[in-house]
Amino acid sequence: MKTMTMKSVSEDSSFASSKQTPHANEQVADIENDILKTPNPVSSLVIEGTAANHAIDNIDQHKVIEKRVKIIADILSIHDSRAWFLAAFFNSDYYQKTYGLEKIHNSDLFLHFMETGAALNYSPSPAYDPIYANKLLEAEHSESGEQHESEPNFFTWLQEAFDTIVPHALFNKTTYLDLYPDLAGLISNPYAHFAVHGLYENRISCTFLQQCANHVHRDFPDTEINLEAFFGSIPVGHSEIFANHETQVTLKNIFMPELYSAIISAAEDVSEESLYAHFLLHGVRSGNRPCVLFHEQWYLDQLAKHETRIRSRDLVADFQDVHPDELESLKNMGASASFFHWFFKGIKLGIVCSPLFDTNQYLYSHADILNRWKKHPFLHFIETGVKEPYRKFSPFFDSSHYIKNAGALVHNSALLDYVLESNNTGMPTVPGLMLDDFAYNESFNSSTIEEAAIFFLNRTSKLKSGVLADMVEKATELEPQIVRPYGATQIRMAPVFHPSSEALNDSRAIVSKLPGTQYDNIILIPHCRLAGSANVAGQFTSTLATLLSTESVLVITTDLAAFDRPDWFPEDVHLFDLSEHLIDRSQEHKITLLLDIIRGLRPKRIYNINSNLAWHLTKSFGKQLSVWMEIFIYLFCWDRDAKGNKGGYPIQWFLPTFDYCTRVFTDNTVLRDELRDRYCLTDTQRKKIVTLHTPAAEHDISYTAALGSRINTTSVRRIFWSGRFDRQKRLDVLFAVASRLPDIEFWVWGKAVLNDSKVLSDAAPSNVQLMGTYSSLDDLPLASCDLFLYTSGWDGLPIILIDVASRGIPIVASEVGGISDLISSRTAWPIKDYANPDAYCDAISDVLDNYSVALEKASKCSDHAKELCSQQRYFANLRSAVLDSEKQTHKATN
Amino acid sequence: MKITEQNQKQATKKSFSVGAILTVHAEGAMASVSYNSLLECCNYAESKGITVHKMVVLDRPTRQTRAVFDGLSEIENTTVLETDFGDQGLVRNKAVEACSADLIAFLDGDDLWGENWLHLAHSQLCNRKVGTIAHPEFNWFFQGTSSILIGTDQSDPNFSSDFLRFGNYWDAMCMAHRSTYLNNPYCKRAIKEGFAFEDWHWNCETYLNGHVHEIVMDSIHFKRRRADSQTIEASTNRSLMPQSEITSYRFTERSV
Repeated sequence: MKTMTMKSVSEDSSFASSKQTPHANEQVADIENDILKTPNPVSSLVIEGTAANHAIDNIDQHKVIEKRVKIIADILSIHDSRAWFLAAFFNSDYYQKTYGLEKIHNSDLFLHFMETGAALNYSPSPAYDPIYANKLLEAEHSESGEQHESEPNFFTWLQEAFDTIVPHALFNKTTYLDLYPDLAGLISNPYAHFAVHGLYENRISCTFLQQCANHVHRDFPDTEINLEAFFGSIPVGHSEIFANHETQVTLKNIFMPELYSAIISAAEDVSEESLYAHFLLHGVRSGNRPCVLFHEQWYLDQLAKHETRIRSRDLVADFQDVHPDELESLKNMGASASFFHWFFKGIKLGIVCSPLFDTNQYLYSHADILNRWKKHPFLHFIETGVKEPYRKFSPFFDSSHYIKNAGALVHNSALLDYVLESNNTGMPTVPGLMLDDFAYNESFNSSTIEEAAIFFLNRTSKLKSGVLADMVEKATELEPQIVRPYGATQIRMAPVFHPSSEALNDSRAIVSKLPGTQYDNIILIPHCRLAGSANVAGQFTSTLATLLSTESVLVITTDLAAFDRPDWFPEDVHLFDLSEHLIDRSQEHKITLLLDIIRGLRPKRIYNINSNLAWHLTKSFGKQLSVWMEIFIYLFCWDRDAKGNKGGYPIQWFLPTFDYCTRVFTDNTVLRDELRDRYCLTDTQRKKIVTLHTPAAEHDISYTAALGSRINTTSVRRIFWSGRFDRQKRLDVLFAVASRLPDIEFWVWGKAVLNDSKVLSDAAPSNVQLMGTYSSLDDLPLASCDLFLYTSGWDGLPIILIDVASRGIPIVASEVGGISDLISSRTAWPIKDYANPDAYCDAISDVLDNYSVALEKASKCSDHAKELCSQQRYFANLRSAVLDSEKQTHKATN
Repeated sequence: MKITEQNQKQATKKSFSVGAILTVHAEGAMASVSYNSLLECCNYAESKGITVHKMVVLDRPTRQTRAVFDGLSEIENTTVLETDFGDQGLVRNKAVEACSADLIAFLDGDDLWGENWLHLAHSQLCNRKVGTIAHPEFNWFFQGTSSILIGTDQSDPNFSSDFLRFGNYWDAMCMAHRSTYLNNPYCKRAIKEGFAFEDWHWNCETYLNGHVHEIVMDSIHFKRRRADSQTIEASTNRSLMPQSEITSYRFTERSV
């Protein structure tokens, strides 16, 4: 059918008598005269483009009209202008499509209407609303007191009310004549003109359409309005409810202007009213959807599959208030637009037009809907609930899960946000659903998550009909509980939609990046930042690689990607950063992945050196892991929390993991003994705790001789301090000491790592010089300093202290943790009162005042450090612990 | 035991008998619902000409559970066996030894079969190699949760053996040839030691041994999810599947 552009109101193609008389005979004469006066009388009456004459040439059109007029005369005995009106009014294309009469030949359709369709209240034209017409007729009859034996139909209107009742709610005589003054005085029946001419000339028929058309003309000048198609898009019998104010409010609530704007690629400044008008007059019949909850294909499929048989467990029965006789009529799509069909008819059948809405879930997740909402729950959701992020509506889309992953929403609905912003980005919409196989980006009329939902719903649809539905019903007779609990039904299909799918997906990425598929030894560290534990990890790895030279070793960073000192680790050991695969994953998920790695790589031994994730893993699955491999853990020192209470790994993790460990390493005897005593360990258990004093870096450097020149020096005295600027290292004590000793220079190396110190480096007194960081202790001008000051509040056996001690430098250090393994009053100045600056000041004065004694102590300290912390001793102890030990843990049988 | 070429080539037999085995322990009256389901399913299969042997295995039954099956063998021509394992896997192994049917299907004491299960699974297995293992198209979970598990066939493009490291495609309520069970006995459950999921492990081992897991279309099982079920206990106990080669990355690498 040819689409016509809007004609100017000054153009006239009148179908009317020259006299405005209601008299039938005169009208007949006028119409016939009109026909005879025109060169092509049929075309003046039956305008180009009417469905009645589709594909029929003008001569044939004339014949068709005349034939119809004759049929009308035969059947209705009407011979006046109404006969000519009906002949031209009948739209065969519309009629055929609306009532599914494809099997009837085009030329027989009019006769079908006259003999059958009219009696069934069929509509002959998109401009005729039989329900609306009947309502007005009945009202008129009621007023006049006339009685009718049967329900009025089109013939009743034609015969009794042709000039008095307008049979479509979207036509207004006054508006029509106001808009088209050229018609004034030329036509006696404005509706008849509209129905035969105006509709096909796209003449505006009412104020509502005028407003819509104005919006479209202003903002979409290239859009052609096809009024015939628009009228046809509204299901038969719904013109009045369509025009109703409440309906329009509801439709506007459903309409998502942002989505529609994206669908038609509208300019940004187009108003919501214009977008809505465009949708009504153009988009709806083009298959564009008004909101993310209308999926045309899904709706059409559900409509086609709709069954009248409702099983007991189908909640939808409660929302389908339809008489069986109405079912076929409601299912009939006809010429109407699919969205309007759903809105006016489909919902009455209980059909939900989105694969993303689960009626049961919505109803039983929300007491307000269950107890108070009387209509179909989907109507609440599509109008209101979709904008409420707490609503649970789908097994495939969880707003909170989406928001958690997507962050702040750009749009006012999570679902809309997904379609417009996250479609095909891999953004998870619900736990466990892998969307890769459902990618959809053809248009905004669907989305990946909708395609996924359709797949799963189609896959499970056989549970609702046929043999499987019978199985369910029979089983329900045996066990009525089968249909419970009511509410959401989760769907699972491994490996695409399963609680373990995300772990599998992550694991695949991890496995593809791992440098190998099997390792004999796996060392788990949190990261490699500038910290003693990372240094120990490096030394441990080097020693282990030497010790087990025929075995493979893998180092895994679990908590952070930082790897500042790769030089601390041997080159022939593989390094793998797991932490980059764990970002934004839950703790449980991280544990699952690490467990998979450990099981997958089949190590003989795993070693945890301060990896928080490894602690969690050992606590959760140490029992089983210890059956398959040996577990070694490394402890350095406990911590103190902000309240001053002991905490940290030796407090938090020792007990829950000790039973599963082959050996527990400490870097000092103090912690070892503390653990042994605190937990009253048996002899066998005590042997599991082994101290490995961290080896000093091998060197031949001694500063003792060089420092001898400072015995009687009169130049400025200098103290050096090195460490992290963190709470543990007591920067506050250092600064207090420096303040008390203003004549001494303090050279301070280090930086904040944990950023937990209340005292910051910029609070340093003027005699403190911040020297930055260094990579090698021997790069520092240590020969220009008199002593090393260490103020840590708690510790194991810090490497810096071992390094300084081994170089023969006098030391004043807090006597905490394992430090006493290295220094004593024989070799240095240990400070028991470690938080008291005056105690340090007294010791410093003692050192400086008796510097030759200090150097003697330093020399002894150097010898002690080199012996206690030798590579050979470390190697031997490690070999004994790893290779010569008998497994202490109880082996569960597999 | 690895499936051999001889097994694979073994001619299919069109008149396989079916052993329908219900295993119960502490289900009490729930077991009677499952038994009724078994009877209906057996009747349906028999109406299709299949020879069915019915068996109930009471493993350390509670008084209430035992009461359900008192005198049963005389009434319903059902073999009743009592065991003292306290272990579902070992019970199944024992039941297979005691049942002489060609094909064996298990039903847990609180679950139900779809009525057509034995018939459809039997029909399918009669046309497959002996090592084939049949599973339902759907598992319908009820009572504690409402969910539907769509079965995954080993020939499905989405099937991937690496998923078995994380989850179980199929449960123990399958049907397979008796020799499959005998050659691949279930492992012992050791929940206290942290190992459970013997059905998951059995699926992994049978897969590794060359057995093919198939879905029987149009079939369904109904699985009760109780808060005190052994599966729930195993999950909350942080149990793991016993060691299987399937969890090894070397196997993963070979199978990709």
